[in-house]
Amino acid sequence: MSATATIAVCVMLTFLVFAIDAWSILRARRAILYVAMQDPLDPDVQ
Amino acid sequence: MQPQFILRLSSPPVFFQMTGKALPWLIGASLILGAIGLWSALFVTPTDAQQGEVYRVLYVHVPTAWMSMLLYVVASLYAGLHLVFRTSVSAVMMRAMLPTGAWMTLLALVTGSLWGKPTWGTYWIWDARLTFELLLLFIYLGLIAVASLIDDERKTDQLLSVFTLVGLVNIPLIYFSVVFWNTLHQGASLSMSGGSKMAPIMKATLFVCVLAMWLGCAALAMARARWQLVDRERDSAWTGSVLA
Repeated sequence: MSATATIAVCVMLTFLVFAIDAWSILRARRAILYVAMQDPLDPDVQ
Repeated sequence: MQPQFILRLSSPPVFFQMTGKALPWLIGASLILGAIGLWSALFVTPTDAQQGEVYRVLYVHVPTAWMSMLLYVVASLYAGLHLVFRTSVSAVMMRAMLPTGAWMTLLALVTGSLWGKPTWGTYWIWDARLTFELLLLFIYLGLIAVASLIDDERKTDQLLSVFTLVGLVNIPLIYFSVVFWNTLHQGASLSMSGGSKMAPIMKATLFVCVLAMWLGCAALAMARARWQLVDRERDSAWTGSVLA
Protein backbone atom coordinates (compact mmCIF):
# COMPACT_ATOMS: atom_id res chain seq x y z
CA MET A 1 0.00 0.00 0.00
CA SER A 2 1.36 3.43 -0.91
CA ALA A 3 2.00 6.09 1.75
CA THR A 4 -0.93 8.21 0.49
CA ALA A 5 -3.30 5.23 0.64
CA THR A 6 -2.11 4.34 4.16
CA ILE A 7 -2.70 7.90 5.41
CA ALA A 8 -6.09 8.08 3.69
CA VAL A 9 -7.22 4.77 5.23
CA CYS A 10 -6.10 5.89 8.72
CA VAL A 11 -7.93 9.25 8.45
CA MET A 12 -11.10 7.62 7.10
CA LEU A 13 -11.05 4.96 9.83
CA THR A 14 -10.83 7.71 12.45
CA PHE A 15 -13.87 9.52 11.03
CA LEU A 16 -15.71 6.19 10.75
CA VAL A 17 -15.04 5.30 14.39
CA PHE A 18 -16.29 8.69 15.62
CA ALA A 19 -19.36 8.38 13.41
CA ILE A 20 -20.18 4.85 14.67
CA ASP A 21 -19.72 5.90 18.31
CA ALA A 22 -21.92 8.98 17.84
CA TRP A 23 -24.55 6.90 16.01
CA SER A 24 -24.62 4.33 18.85
CA ILE A 25 -25.26 7.15 21.35
CA LEU A 26 -28.10 8.57 19.23
CA ARG A 27 -29.58 5.09 18.87
CA ALA A 28 -29.45 4.53 22.66
CA ARG A 29 -31.04 7.94 23.21
CA ARG A 30 -33.85 7.09 20.80
CA ALA A 31 -34.45 3.76 22.55
CA ILE A 32 -34.58 5.47 25.98
CA LEU A 33 -37.09 8.03 24.71
CA TYR A 34 -39.24 5.30 23.11
CA VAL A 35 -39.21 3.23 26.30
CA ALA A 36 -40.27 6.34 28.21
CA MET A 37 -43.17 6.81 25.81
CA GLN A 38 -43.92 3.07 26.10
CA ASP A 39 -44.36 2.67 22.40
CA PRO A 40 -44.67 -1.10 21.86
CA LEU A 41 -44.42 -0.76 18.08
CA ASP A 42 -40.82 0.46 18.00
CA PRO A 43 -38.49 -2.39 17.02
CA ASP A 44 -35.61 -0.94 19.07
CA VAL A 45 -37.53 -1.40 22.28
CA GLN A 46 -38.43 -5.06 21.68
CA MET B 1 -12.40 25.39 41.29
CA GLN B 2 -14.78 25.66 44.22
CA PRO B 3 -15.68 22.41 46.06
CA GLN B 4 -19.30 23.59 46.02
CA PHE B 5 -19.23 23.60 42.20
CA ILE B 6 -17.91 20.02 42.11
CA LEU B 7 -20.58 18.91 44.60
CA ARG B 8 -23.24 20.60 42.50
CA LEU B 9 -22.03 18.68 39.42
CA SER B 10 -22.71 15.38 41.19
CA SER B 11 -26.41 16.27 41.19
CA PRO B 12 -27.99 14.48 38.17
CA PRO B 13 -30.24 17.38 36.99
CA VAL B 14 -27.37 19.89 37.30
CA PHE B 15 -25.03 17.52 35.44
CA PHE B 16 -27.60 16.99 32.69
CA GLN B 17 -28.21 20.71 32.29
CA MET B 18 -24.54 21.77 32.38
CA THR B 19 -23.32 19.06 30.00
CA GLY B 20 -26.19 19.96 27.66
CA LYS B 21 -24.80 23.50 27.48
CA ALA B 22 -21.17 22.33 27.14
CA LEU B 23 -21.76 19.73 24.40
CA PRO B 24 -22.25 22.07 21.38
CA TRP B 25 -19.07 23.97 22.33
CA LEU B 26 -17.07 20.76 22.71
CA ILE B 27 -18.30 19.38 19.38
CA GLY B 28 -17.74 22.71 17.59
CA ALA B 29 -14.22 23.18 19.00
CA SER B 30 -13.35 19.56 18.19
CA LEU B 31 -14.49 19.91 14.56
CA ILE B 32 -12.67 23.22 14.03
CA LEU B 33 -9.43 22.00 15.64
CA GLY B 34 -9.74 18.67 13.81
CA ALA B 35 -10.02 20.48 10.45
CA ILE B 36 -7.01 22.71 11.27
CA GLY B 37 -4.99 19.73 12.50
CA LEU B 38 -5.81 17.62 9.44
CA TRP B 39 -5.00 20.47 7.04
CA SER B 40 -1.68 21.13 8.78
CA ALA B 41 -0.83 17.42 9.02
CA LEU B 42 -1.45 16.82 5.31
CA PHE B 43 -0.36 20.09 3.67
CA VAL B 44 1.78 22.20 6.05
CA THR B 45 4.15 19.89 7.92
CA PRO B 46 7.28 18.84 6.02
CA THR B 47 8.06 15.30 4.87
CA ASP B 48 10.04 13.23 7.37
CA ALA B 49 13.70 12.75 6.41
CA GLN B 50 13.73 9.04 7.33
CA GLN B 51 10.19 7.74 6.84
CA GLY B 52 8.98 9.93 4.01
CA GLU B 53 5.27 10.71 3.66
CA VAL B 54 3.98 7.71 5.63
CA TYR B 55 5.06 9.31 8.93
CA ARG B 56 1.88 11.47 8.67
CA VAL B 57 -0.02 8.51 10.17
CA LEU B 58 1.51 9.83 13.42
CA TYR B 59 -1.09 12.64 13.54
CA VAL B 60 -3.85 10.04 13.84
CA HIS B 61 -2.02 7.23 15.62
CA VAL B 62 -0.48 9.19 18.52
CA PRO B 63 -3.70 11.04 19.52
CA THR B 64 -5.74 7.81 19.45
CA ALA B 65 -3.09 5.94 21.47
CA TRP B 66 -2.99 8.76 24.05
CA MET B 67 -6.79 8.86 24.21
CA SER B 68 -6.95 5.08 24.75
CA MET B 69 -4.84 5.52 27.91
CA LEU B 70 -6.26 8.87 29.04
CA LEU B 71 -9.87 7.68 28.82
CA TYR B 72 -8.97 4.69 30.96
CA VAL B 73 -7.30 6.93 33.56
CA VAL B 74 -10.38 9.20 33.63
CA ALA B 75 -12.67 6.14 33.93
CA SER B 76 -10.50 4.99 36.86
CA LEU B 77 -10.81 8.41 38.52
CA TYR B 78 -14.60 8.15 38.28
CA ALA B 79 -14.39 4.53 39.53
CA GLY B 80 -12.49 5.76 42.61
CA LEU B 81 -15.00 8.58 43.10
CA HIS B 82 -17.85 6.10 42.79
CA LEU B 83 -16.41 3.77 45.42
CA VAL B 84 -16.17 6.72 47.84
CA PHE B 85 -19.28 8.78 47.09
CA ARG B 86 -21.61 6.29 45.32
CA THR B 87 -23.16 8.93 43.07
CA SER B 88 -25.04 8.13 39.86
CA VAL B 89 -23.02 10.73 37.94
CA SER B 90 -19.67 9.08 38.78
CA ALA B 91 -21.09 5.67 37.78
CA VAL B 92 -22.42 6.81 34.41
CA MET B 93 -19.26 8.79 33.63
CA MET B 94 -17.14 5.70 34.38
CA ARG B 95 -19.37 3.56 32.15
CA ALA B 96 -19.52 6.18 29.38
CA MET B 97 -15.72 6.28 28.98
CA LEU B 98 -15.46 2.55 28.22
CA PRO B 99 -16.91 2.24 24.65
CA THR B 100 -15.09 5.36 23.41
CA GLY B 101 -11.88 4.12 25.07
CA ALA B 102 -12.26 0.72 23.39
CA TRP B 103 -12.76 2.39 19.99
CA MET B 104 -9.67 4.56 20.51
CA THR B 105 -7.60 1.49 21.49
CA LEU B 106 -8.76 -0.41 18.41
CA LEU B 107 -7.98 2.62 16.25
CA ALA B 108 -4.50 2.97 17.80
CA LEU B 109 -3.79 -0.71 17.11
CA VAL B 110 -5.07 -0.60 13.51
CA THR B 111 -3.36 2.68 12.54
CA GLY B 112 -0.17 1.51 14.27
CA SER B 113 -0.35 -1.73 12.34
CA LEU B 114 -0.81 0.12 9.02
CA TRP B 115 2.14 2.34 9.91
CA GLY B 116 4.21 -0.68 10.99
CA LYS B 117 4.12 -2.43 7.62
CA PRO B 118 6.08 0.20 5.61
CA THR B 119 8.40 1.15 8.50
CA TRP B 120 9.01 -2.16 10.35
CA GLY B 121 8.15 -4.55 7.53
CA THR B 122 5.32 -6.20 9.48
CA TYR B 123 1.75 -5.41 10.53
CA TRP B 124 2.15 -7.02 13.95
CA ILE B 125 4.85 -8.16 16.34
CA TRP B 126 4.56 -9.29 19.96
CA ASP B 127 6.43 -6.21 21.11
CA ALA B 128 5.86 -5.09 24.74
CA ARG B 129 4.02 -1.86 23.83
CA LEU B 130 1.78 -3.51 21.24
CA THR B 131 1.00 -6.44 23.52
CA PHE B 132 0.03 -4.23 26.48
CA GLU B 133 -2.09 -2.04 24.18
CA LEU B 134 -3.87 -5.18 22.94
CA LEU B 135 -4.36 -6.17 26.58
CA LEU B 136 -5.95 -2.74 27.16
CA LEU B 137 -8.46 -3.48 24.39
CA PHE B 138 -9.35 -6.79 26.08
CA ILE B 139 -9.72 -5.00 29.44
CA TYR B 140 -12.08 -2.45 27.87
CA LEU B 141 -14.12 -5.21 26.20
CA GLY B 142 -14.23 -7.20 29.45
CA LEU B 143 -15.47 -4.17 31.39
CA ILE B 144 -18.12 -3.41 28.75
CA ALA B 145 -19.25 -7.06 28.98
CA VAL B 146 -19.45 -6.89 32.79
CA ALA B 147 -21.43 -3.62 32.54
CA SER B 148 -24.01 -5.21 30.26
CA LEU B 149 -24.24 -8.72 31.74
CA ILE B 150 -25.50 -7.98 35.24
CA ASP B 151 -29.01 -6.56 35.69
CA ASP B 152 -28.58 -4.95 39.11
CA GLU B 153 -27.11 -1.54 38.22
CA ARG B 154 -25.91 -0.64 41.74
CA LYS B 155 -24.07 -3.94 42.21
CA THR B 156 -22.60 -3.70 38.71
CA ASP B 157 -21.36 -0.16 39.39
CA GLN B 158 -19.39 -1.33 42.42
CA LEU B 159 -17.99 -4.40 40.67
CA LEU B 160 -17.11 -2.33 37.61
CA SER B 161 -15.36 0.30 39.75
CA VAL B 162 -13.16 -2.34 41.39
CA PHE B 163 -12.35 -4.06 38.07
CA THR B 164 -11.58 -0.72 36.41
CA LEU B 165 -9.17 0.22 39.19
CA VAL B 166 -7.45 -3.20 38.95
CA GLY B 167 -7.00 -2.73 35.19
CA LEU B 168 -5.32 0.63 35.78
CA VAL B 169 -2.05 -1.22 36.42
CA ASN B 170 -1.83 -1.79 32.64
CA ILE B 171 -1.55 1.94 31.83
CA PRO B 172 1.96 2.57 33.28
CA LEU B 173 3.01 -0.72 31.68
CA ILE B 174 1.96 0.64 28.26
CA TYR B 175 3.49 4.06 28.83
CA PHE B 176 6.84 2.84 30.18
CA SER B 177 7.09 -0.33 28.07
CA VAL B 178 9.51 1.39 25.69
CA VAL B 179 11.73 2.24 28.68
CA PHE B 180 11.51 -1.06 30.58
CA TRP B 181 12.03 -3.36 27.59
CA ASN B 182 13.91 -3.32 24.30
CA THR B 183 11.07 -2.73 21.87
CA LEU B 184 10.68 -2.35 18.14
CA HIS B 185 8.24 0.48 18.93
CA GLN B 186 10.10 3.76 19.10
CA GLY B 187 10.57 5.66 22.36
CA ALA B 188 8.54 8.75 23.26
CA SER B 189 8.92 11.56 20.71
CA LEU B 190 7.62 14.06 23.24
CA SER B 191 8.71 14.05 26.84
CA MET B 192 7.74 16.24 29.76
CA SER B 193 11.26 16.16 31.24
CA GLY B 194 13.58 16.42 28.25
CA GLY B 195 13.73 18.13 24.90
CA SER B 196 11.69 17.04 21.92
CA LYS B 197 13.07 15.33 18.83
CA MET B 198 10.29 16.79 16.68
CA ALA B 199 10.29 19.95 14.58
CA PRO B 200 8.18 22.75 16.15
CA ILE B 201 5.56 22.72 13.34
CA MET B 202 5.16 18.95 13.67
CA LYS B 203 4.83 19.26 17.44
CA ALA B 204 2.25 22.07 17.17
CA THR B 205 0.21 20.08 14.64
CA LEU B 206 0.33 17.00 16.86
CA PHE B 207 -0.92 19.04 19.83
CA VAL B 208 -3.82 20.43 17.76
CA CYS B 209 -4.76 16.89 16.66
CA VAL B 210 -4.53 15.59 20.24
CA LEU B 211 -6.68 18.46 21.53
CA ALA B 212 -9.28 17.92 18.78
CA MET B 213 -9.48 14.22 19.59
CA TRP B 214 -9.66 14.85 23.34
CA LEU B 215 -12.55 17.29 22.88
CA GLY B 216 -14.29 14.84 20.53
CA CYS B 217 -13.89 11.94 22.97
CA ALA B 218 -15.04 14.12 25.89
CA ALA B 219 -18.15 15.11 23.90
CA LEU B 220 -18.96 11.47 23.05
CA ALA B 221 -18.47 10.27 26.63
CA MET B 222 -20.50 13.18 28.00
CA ALA B 223 -23.36 12.61 25.55
CA ARG B 224 -23.44 8.90 26.41
CA ALA B 225 -23.33 9.63 30.17
CA ARG B 226 -26.26 12.09 29.93
CA TRP B 227 -28.62 9.54 28.42
CA GLN B 228 -27.46 6.71 30.68
CA LEU B 229 -28.24 9.04 33.57
CA VAL B 230 -31.74 9.76 32.24
CA ASP B 231 -32.29 6.02 31.76
CA ARG B 232 -31.39 5.11 35.33
CA GLU B 233 -33.19 8.11 36.86
CA ARG B 234 -36.36 7.72 34.78
CA ASP B 235 -38.55 7.64 37.91
CA SER B 236 -37.10 10.89 39.30
CA ALA B 237 -39.05 14.11 39.01
CA TRP B 238 -36.33 15.95 37.06
CA THR B 239 -36.43 13.53 34.10
CA GLY B 240 -40.11 14.34 33.52
CA SER B 241 -39.36 17.41 31.43
CA VAL B 242 -36.54 15.60 29.54
CA LEU B 243 -38.68 12.60 28.60
CA ALA B 244 -41.85 14.56 27.94
